[in-house]
Order: sequence, then C-alpha cells, then structure tokens
Amino acid sequence: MPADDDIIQRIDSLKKIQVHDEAAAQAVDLARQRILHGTSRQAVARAGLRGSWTDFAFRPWFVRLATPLTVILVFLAALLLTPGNKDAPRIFASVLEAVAQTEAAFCQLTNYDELGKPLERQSLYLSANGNCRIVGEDGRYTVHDFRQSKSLIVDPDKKQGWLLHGRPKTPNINLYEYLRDLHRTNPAIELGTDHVDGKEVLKFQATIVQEGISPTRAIIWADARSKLPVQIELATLHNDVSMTYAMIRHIRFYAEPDPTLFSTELPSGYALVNPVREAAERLLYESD
Amino acid sequence: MDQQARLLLDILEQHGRDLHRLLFRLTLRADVAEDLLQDLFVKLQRSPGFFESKLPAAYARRAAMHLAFDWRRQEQRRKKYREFLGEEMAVADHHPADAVANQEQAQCILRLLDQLPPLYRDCVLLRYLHEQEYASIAAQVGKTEHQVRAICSKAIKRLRDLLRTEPSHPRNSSRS
Repeated sequence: MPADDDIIQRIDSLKKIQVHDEAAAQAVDLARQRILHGTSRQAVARAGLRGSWTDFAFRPWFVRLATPLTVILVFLAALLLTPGNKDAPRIFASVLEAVAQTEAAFCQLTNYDELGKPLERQSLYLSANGNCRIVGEDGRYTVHDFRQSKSLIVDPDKKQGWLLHGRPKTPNINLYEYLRDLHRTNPAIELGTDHVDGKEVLKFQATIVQEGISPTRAIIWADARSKLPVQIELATLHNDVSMTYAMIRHIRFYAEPDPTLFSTELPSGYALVNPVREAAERLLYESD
Repeated sequence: MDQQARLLLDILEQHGRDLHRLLFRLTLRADVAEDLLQDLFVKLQRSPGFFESKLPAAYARRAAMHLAFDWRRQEQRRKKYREFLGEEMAVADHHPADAVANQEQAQCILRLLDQLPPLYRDCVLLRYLHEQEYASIAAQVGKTEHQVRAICSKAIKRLRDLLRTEPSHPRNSSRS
C-alpha cells in the first residue's frame, strides 16, 4: 500500500472515532453556561488558564507581593525581548529618556479574568531605588524595602501589621533600572496617536514570543508632551485571539519619591503581629 | 443580550457538537474536549477577529484545531515532566482506552500532524477530516484554490516522509 494511502487511512481513523451524544450535549451545555453566566475561578483554574495558586490560603499577601512584580516583569521582558524593528521610532527612546529622569511613580493595576471581568485593582507606588508600596482595594497595604530585605504588611481595619524579614522569592525588579537599559534596544512598533483621559498620547506596541508560551503583547500609551507612559495594557495572544489580563492605568511619574510611602515602620497606634505564620514566611521569603 | 453573545450562542447551538467532536478526535480525551470547548468560546468571546470574520463558524473550527494541538504540545511537556519526576501516568482514569478503538493509529497521525506548520495542518484536516472542497478551504484560510491544492499536496508528502521515520512504521519495526 502506498505510504500516502496509509496517511489518508490514518486520517480516516480519526473520522471513525465516535463521540457519545450525551457527552457532546453536556459539553455544549457547559459552554453555554460560560457564555451566559461567566465562569468561576475554580473552573478557570481547572482548565489550566490560571494557576491554582489563586485559591491558596495566603492569597491576599501573595497577590499583593507577586502579582504587580510579575506583571512588571512580563512587561519589561516584552520590551527587552521583542525583536528589533528597523522602523522602531526614535521617539520611543525619548519616552525612555523621560522615564530615566524621574525617581518615583504611581499607577493602578487591574487584573482581568478571561471574560474580561476585573479581578482586583491595586495601587502601586514605585521608587527608583526599587522599593514599592502596594495598596489593595480593601485598604490593606504592603511596603517592600529590597535594600533592607524587609517588608511591612498593614491592615488598617484591624490596626495591626506584620513585619517580614528576608528577600521575597518573587523577582526583585527595579522598574527604573530596566527602563534605563531599554535604551540599548529598539523594541517598539509605533501605533500612532490616541487620547487617554483627554490627553493626546503616542501609542506603541511590543510583543514577546517565547517557545511554549502564548505570546504577550504590551501596548504602551505615552503622553505626547512629556513623553512619559500613562497607560500600559498587557495581553496574551493565542491563535490571533488577544486576551487582556492586566491594565496599568493612571501612571504618574515624580521627580522625588515621598519617603513616608516607603517606610517599613509600623504607624503609631498599630499592633505588631509576630511571629508571622511560619508557612507564609517559608513560602514567600528566603531568610538572609 | 448583546449581538456578540447572540452570535456566540448561535455558533454554539449550530456547531457546538461538531466542534466538540473535532476536539475529541484531536485530543482523544473526553474530559479535555469538554474543557477545551469551554475555553474555545471564552477565547472567541475576547476575539475581535472572530466577530469581524465573514465565516465565524470556520474561524471557530480553526481556533478549535489550534487549541487542540496546543493542548497536545502542553500535554507532551507535562508527560516529560512527570516522567522526569518518576510519577506514574494516571491517564486511564480520564479516558478509557477502549473509547477509541484505533487509538494507536489515531495517536500516530496526530503526532505527525503536530509536526506540520499550522496552515498545512489546517488545510489537511479541513480537506481530509472534514471533507471540504478546496474552494471552501481557500475562503477560510485566505488563499486561492490553487494554493490550497498545493499546500495539501505538500502536507501529505511531508506526512509521508514523517511516517517513514516513525518507530511504529512497519518498515522501521522490521529493521529492528
């Protein structure tokens, strides 16, 4: 038998595979529920679209620490690893130059599920020396001081705080250092002008493609006058389908950081809760 | 209900079972086909390309094919990882092998198809699994009929070459 007949025969073998009507009906019914009513986090985790860490007992602490840093890491990696474009605009270099002149930044980070529903919004204060303060919607906040290898978690409702010593296991990212290094690359595609919050902005796109991982697309909106980024969208690309998973909005840069925002001293009147639950510390931190 | 949700539901009602069957045939796992069908519609819901497409059902079918082969590659990596860790494979719990009588033959052709460029794979599957006309495939993949014929021919030739290197091929097993 010729080999190509063998090929056709093998493809035919796929045709012969029967599916039970009940199984098909059930699958269609579940897909219909998803379209009509959205989806639960558990269903999403089961489908492998989002890591099961979302159900982890220490999630609030973990998310406060890991999510913003991971998002920033992906964004920076996207910029650094995007292949050079011969038409990459010189203007993007001026955006990076403008960023390099600042010492602190504020932004709001929103994560989305795959139906586009916002999961959680956090406010981020970033200092050029790498320190950061992450504030959740419930008012709880975490301050990370990477130089002193310590972090403070504060719960204003309960008037109590936790002090963690050691280096976070999450990536130690300094937004400013990375942005300065970006001068060496020509990473972005210019997408023209746009308007954000009434301001005229320049729009850029950067894409990262890595084997085995869905490509990530970052869109950066930068103020046309100051050249500073004001908004960044991060999305995965899968079969030409783009899914936004994080949006960084209201980015503002400052010439000087406010040291009180990055203090790891517990506010007066607050109780220090120690020791921190051992399991949480073991998971999140490596002791010095 | 908005227009986009209505279109999704229409596609699901009209083609949901076909898409599920396609996913099952490409993954050989009932539980995975069920999950992937849901994932497919979640992805379509976020896809401007789907809503702009003149052939949304064909778009959904191609997206389903890509999703299934993506899953196969991920599964392959997971398998290697589990082997590396020395863990036993517990796949029999999920999909009784007897559900697919000619499992070995099916796995073999899926392995070969996975090695083709996505466009080649799409054309071959649409032509030989879905038995579509070249003109119809051409409209779906944005090529001319003549180009699709050439792609299918090259893809079959490539599959033939790949089959010769398969360990399960009679020629190779007789050598050993």
